[in-house]
Amino acid sequence: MSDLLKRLAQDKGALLVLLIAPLLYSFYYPLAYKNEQLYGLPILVVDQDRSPDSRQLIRLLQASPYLTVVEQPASTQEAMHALATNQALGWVLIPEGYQQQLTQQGQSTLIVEGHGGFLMAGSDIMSRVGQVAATAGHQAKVLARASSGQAPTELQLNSLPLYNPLQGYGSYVVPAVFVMVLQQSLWIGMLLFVGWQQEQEPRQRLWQPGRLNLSRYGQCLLVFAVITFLQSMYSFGFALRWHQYPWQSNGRVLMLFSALFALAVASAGLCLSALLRQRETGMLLLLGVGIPIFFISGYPLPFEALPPALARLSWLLPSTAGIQGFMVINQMGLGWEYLGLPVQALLVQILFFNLLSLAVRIQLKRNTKGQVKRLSAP
Amino acid sequence: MASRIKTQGLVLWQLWRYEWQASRQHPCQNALLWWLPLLMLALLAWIFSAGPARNLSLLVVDQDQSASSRQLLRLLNASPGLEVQAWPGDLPGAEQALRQRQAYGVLAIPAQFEQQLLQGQGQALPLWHNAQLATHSSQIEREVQQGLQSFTANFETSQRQRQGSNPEQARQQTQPIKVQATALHNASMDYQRFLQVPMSFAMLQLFVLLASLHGLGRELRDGSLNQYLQQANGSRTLALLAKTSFYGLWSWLWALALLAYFAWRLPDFEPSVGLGLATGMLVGSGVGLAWLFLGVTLNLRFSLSVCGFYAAPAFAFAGQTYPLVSMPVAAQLWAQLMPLTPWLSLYNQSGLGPVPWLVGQTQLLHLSLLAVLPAVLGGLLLRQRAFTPTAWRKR
Repeated sequence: MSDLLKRLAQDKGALLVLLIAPLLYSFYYPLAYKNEQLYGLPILVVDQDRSPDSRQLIRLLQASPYLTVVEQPASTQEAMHALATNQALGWVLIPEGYQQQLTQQGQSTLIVEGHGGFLMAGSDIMSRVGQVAATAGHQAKVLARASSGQAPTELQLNSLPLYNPLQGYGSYVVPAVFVMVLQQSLWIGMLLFVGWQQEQEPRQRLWQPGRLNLSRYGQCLLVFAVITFLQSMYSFGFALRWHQYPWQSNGRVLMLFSALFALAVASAGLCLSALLRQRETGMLLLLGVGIPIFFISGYPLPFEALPPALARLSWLLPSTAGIQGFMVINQMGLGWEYLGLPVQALLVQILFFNLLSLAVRIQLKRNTKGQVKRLSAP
Repeated sequence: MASRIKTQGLVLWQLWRYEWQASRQHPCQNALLWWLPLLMLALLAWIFSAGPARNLSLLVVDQDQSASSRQLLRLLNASPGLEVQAWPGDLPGAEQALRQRQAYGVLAIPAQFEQQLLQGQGQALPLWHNAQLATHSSQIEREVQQGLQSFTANFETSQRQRQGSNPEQARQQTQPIKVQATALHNASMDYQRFLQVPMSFAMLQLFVLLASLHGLGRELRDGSLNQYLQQANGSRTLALLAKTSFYGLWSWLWALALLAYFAWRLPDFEPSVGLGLATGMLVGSGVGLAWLFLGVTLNLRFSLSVCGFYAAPAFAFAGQTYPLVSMPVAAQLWAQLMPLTPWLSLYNQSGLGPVPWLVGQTQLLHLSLLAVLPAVLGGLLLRQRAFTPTAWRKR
């Protein structure tokens, strides 16, 4: 064990990825989402009616903290030009006759178009403008019905967001990204280290050819699992709270689940290391696969939006079980009894990847012995 | 002069052949050039092939059990994105199901719901939803809201009709301000247009960067740069130009293939010449960035770490999901240093229609600076530093 730790301490490249990268990412990545909410989304308003009612509507739009009326172009052409020059992410058209229709027919139409490319911002604009229109419409109904002595039907939705009460974007995405960072950095760091050792002279290698090297394998598994566990404690025990994201974790459950997750990631990493033999290969291949792995975790897209086969296959990855499990512990604040599927998946992965590693090593041992036999044959 | 050009052309051709053969001999390089990008792009296509989420589970606790509450349930059930289940038990049981992730939301219809409606009393229906799963939660919220609006409109219409209004008048009076909301040039709110296309090109740029890093970095690592230089008749400039053009051409081939694929696959995706040019620059910028990282570090492993820091989170900072305008200033500035940012701006603007000339040229200039400057700077650094033995074999 001391030999292994000594070799690891000498490998600055691997240590940079294993120890420094998660720390760096814990401050770097959340920077983009520091403001959490989508406030002040720029919109344009084309008022073709220029009536008291249309001006009242514009005042309501300007009062919304989620929207900023950046300009009131005189025509739709000017509005489209402003959109094309990136001055806004959506626009509202108050057509001519808005007030007249509202007064005489009891209904008028408002047109809102959000940017279809920047879909999140665009759909948020449509939603916020819809809320403002509903408020203005309700005010109109109240006035109309007051004159007839009748109250309007008031049926509203009382939306109660759980676990992320402010519905912050950073609070939503960063905890899941931390799981990805843990997995990717451990795999890359492990492959850097193991690959480097395997490039040495046979006697200097981490795993001697022709042997199963089970004790050395076990030491590697333990060391890398401990590193991942400690990084997990840092990420979910400190970094999330430092960023003031919603956090209500039970310490014991977090530690236990982190240990399982760490073992699963280390097992999968050691399995990968049996296949990749050069120091940099793992890094080259793993850097490009992070995005798809994240998108099949059932988090940015629901499992219901994935092809069924892919949704099932994704549970072979520690990141899927980790993202789902850590959400239950850290954000939902629930106990072990709610971790059924993630825990089962991690246990299966630990067994599967270690058995696979063993099978590969047995095969390698046979191949090496076969080579030795052939070399020594007359 | 002509014979000199011809000689250099022949040398360039030989260097390309050398690069091609080397890539065939190195399985890792082969993977980065061909089958790994193909696999990942195919995986992305598979991820987005199922379309928008259907059947997001919503539990409804109907404490009223009236004709109106059943009508509301039917309307919610008609939403394509929801799978509505009437919860037979009590509210705490439904909340427990939410915690166990058997459902993403719980809607409660209180007792006396219908009675209060008929009496004209206002009421609010509580909807608990797991907001930590933001995509699921916002879809549920949106579809329940639409269902509720439809129900209210139907209810008021029928009330008005009973009072003597004709059906058309009744419908108008229930919703004084009718909102026609559309996503410009993406009316179906297609995730392929919004996410798959930009992510595919972002990933392609990353693979170009990785392949270029390995293409030159392994020569530094293995100390074989001298051998490569001999192939270039000792000309460092020609040696670097050969690698730049090889990986640049390869990246443009991929970019063209991917543009053609999306033009075939997605309706209304008709890339303009400007977007094609911008895409070539985006993808090709990976080569320049690779030269810059290697020129500074002279170390393949360290360059890969820098690549991981710079390029891997680029999609998060580029403003495609969370808008740039909502980010802090520091993040916005950092985003401007990434080729993906001006490309995304141009890609999204071109989706709205022809891009105004000045805007298009500004974005193209921004992109070309980010593509060319690293290549020039990196090339100069490599030319000066990389061809001496002290720069080799760094791990």
